[in-house]
Amino acid sequence: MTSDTHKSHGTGFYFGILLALGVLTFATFWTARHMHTGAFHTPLAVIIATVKAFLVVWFFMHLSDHVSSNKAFFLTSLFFVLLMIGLIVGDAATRLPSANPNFSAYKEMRGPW
Amino acid sequence: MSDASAGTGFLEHAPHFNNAAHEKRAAQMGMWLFLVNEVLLFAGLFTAFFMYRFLYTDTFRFLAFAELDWVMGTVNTGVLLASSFTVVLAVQAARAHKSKLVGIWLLATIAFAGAFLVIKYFEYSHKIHEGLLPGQYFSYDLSESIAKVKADPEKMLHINDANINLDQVGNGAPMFFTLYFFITGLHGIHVLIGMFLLGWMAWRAFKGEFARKNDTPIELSGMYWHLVDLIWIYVYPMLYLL
Repeated sequence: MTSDTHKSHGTGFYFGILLALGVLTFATFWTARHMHTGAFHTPLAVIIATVKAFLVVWFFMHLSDHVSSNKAFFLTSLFFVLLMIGLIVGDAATRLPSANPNFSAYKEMRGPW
Repeated sequence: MSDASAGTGFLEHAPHFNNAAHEKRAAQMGMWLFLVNEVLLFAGLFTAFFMYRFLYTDTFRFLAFAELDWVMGTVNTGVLLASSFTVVLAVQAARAHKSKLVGIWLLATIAFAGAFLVIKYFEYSHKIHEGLLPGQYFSYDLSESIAKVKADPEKMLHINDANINLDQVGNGAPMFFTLYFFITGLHGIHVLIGMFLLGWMAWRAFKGEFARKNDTPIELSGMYWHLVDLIWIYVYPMLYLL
C-alpha cells in the first residue's frame, strides 16, 4: 500500500475554509463589541472559537482523513479541558463569599458571567 | 498520484513497521498525542484566566476594552489564519512531491509568523512603556484611564451595554497583566519554536528532500503550526474581546 493517498481537497476548498474562518473572526469581534448580547457574549465567543477550531482541526490538520483514534484523542482532551475550566469556575461561583480573595467581586452570589 | 517507483524513498520505512503507511499512521498518532498535551498546557492557563476573570470581572473587562488594542489582536488573528493556510499549501505541495514549492510556502508561513511577532512587539513595548506590567511591577494610573473612558460617550456606550461597573475597576489589574503576558508570551515562544521548525523544514525542502522522500515531516510540522494558530483562536477572544 502506498503512503496514505487520501481524497485530498483542492486549493480552492482550503481557501474557502480560510474565508469562512475570516468571517467567523469578524463574527467574534462583532458579537463581542457591537451586538447587545449581554451576559451571553462569553459562551457565544467560546462557541464561535470552537467552530473555528473545528474547521482548522478537521480540514487544515486533516483530522477527517486520520484514523479514529486520533479523533478520539482530540475529543477526549477537549472534554477534559471543558471539565477542568467548568468545574473550577463553578467552584469559584458557588463558594461562600468569604472564601473568595479580598477585594474580589463576589461578596454575594452571582452568575459566572 | 503515483509514487510507488523503486528507489524514490517514498516507501522506505523503519524495519519495526509493517510498511510506510503504518509508519506514517504511527507518526501522526504520536504528533496528535503531543499536540493534545500542548492543549492541556494552555488549558491550565486559560483556567487561571477564567478563574481570575470571574473574581475580578469588571477590572478584567475594563482592561481588555481600554488597554488592549483590538485592531492589533484582530490583525494578528488574520495573520495566523493566513499562515495556517500557507502551511496547508505546503503540505499539498509535499504530497505532490514538489519540494521547492514546499519551501516557498513554508517561507511564506514564516513571514506571516514574523509579522505576528512584530505586531506583538509593538503591543508589548506599549504596555511596558505605560507600566502595564505583571504583579508587583504594575505602575499604571488606572483612575486616569477610567476618567478618559468616562469622558468618551462612544466608549461609555459599550461600558454600559456590557454592564461594566467602573467603580469596581481596580482590584486585580496586576493579575490581568500577569495572565496576559504569561499566556501571550508562552504562545509567542511557541510561535518562535514553530518558525525554527518550519525554517528547518524549508531548508530540507529547498535541498529537494520532499521530491525524493515522503511528506510526513511537513505534515507533522504543519500540525504543530496549526496548533499554534488554534491556541491563538481561543486567546484572541478571551483576552481582547470578552
